[in-house]
Amino acid sequence: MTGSIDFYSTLENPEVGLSLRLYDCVQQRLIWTNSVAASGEDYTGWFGIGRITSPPILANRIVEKIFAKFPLSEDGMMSVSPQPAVTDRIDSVIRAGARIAIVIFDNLTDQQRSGDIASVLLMSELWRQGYEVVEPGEVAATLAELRSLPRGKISTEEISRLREELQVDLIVTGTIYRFVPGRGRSSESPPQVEMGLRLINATDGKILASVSSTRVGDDYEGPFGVGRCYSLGELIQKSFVNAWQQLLKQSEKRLTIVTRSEIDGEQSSASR
Amino acid sequence: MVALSSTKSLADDATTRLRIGVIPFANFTGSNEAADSVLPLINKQLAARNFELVPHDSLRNIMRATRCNYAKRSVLICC
Repeated sequence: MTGSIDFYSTLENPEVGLSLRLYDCVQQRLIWTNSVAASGEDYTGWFGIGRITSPPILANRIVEKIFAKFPLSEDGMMSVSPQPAVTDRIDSVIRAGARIAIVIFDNLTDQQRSGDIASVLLMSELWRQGYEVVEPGEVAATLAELRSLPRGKISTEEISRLREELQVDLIVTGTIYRFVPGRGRSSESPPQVEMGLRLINATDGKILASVSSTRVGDDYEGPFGVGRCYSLGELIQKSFVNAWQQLLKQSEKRLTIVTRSEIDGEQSSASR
Repeated sequence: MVALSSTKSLADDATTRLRIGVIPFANFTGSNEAADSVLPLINKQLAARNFELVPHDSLRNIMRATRCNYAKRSVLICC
């Protein structure tokens, strides 16, 4: 198990974000990942009751929340099926079994590590939707063999290496342009994120789709402020949901993935 | 990625008592307070479950042997 502490803000409206992931050392693949982020305002009820102003207390809530979906029970056994099934609609675009590698996003903001944070959150979101995401450590180690650590871009040689070594079908990368944490209840200080994402076909290195997304916490606000995002981590996760759907829609006509089982089948029938 | 010994696939077996190694976390916050606050809570959650946790020293040795060097990219913190 490993993970990252993505956010820990001690401002007036504290924010804590945490990502965890479990890696199956036998099958050499991720079997669970989850990211949770929230701000103190997220726990505020009517008349401001319940607001959390202490980062340690908020951290406790976040850890409890993330472990509530931990796939291993308290007796040390697997307790639930760790990964949800790919929905039919998405499955029609990208077949189950396609392996996705995330190349760390480029960061054009003045907030350090925003590219790393976005990459981790995207990994959790894709995994939540049922895709097979390659462990970031595997991607980094493979690219390190080429003495490279690309951010927001990837060369043909690097794509080929990921394809050969990790059987990657798709690569996602992007750039973070704006990364502003929220500062509290004021409508003038919601979190903001602006990013661009690209989906690359690892088979031929061509860009399948490219989208940009600009979101502020108010975008999701309904009547009486319900649904508003106070946490930058939550905002980024919601942004990825929309952006990924756009990427799929764009790439639908261009994407034909031949699964490895089909390749194996063709090879075995040709050899007969 | 550090490979740890295990007898069965974690995802496919619901009866094996699991052996878990906790690899150092990345701290993207730049705050030591974050690690001091969050990691004990994670330890507490893991301790409440009946896993067999791989000792930190063993992991450290494996990471050294395999020359895992995340430190150039991340501030590492150990649970």
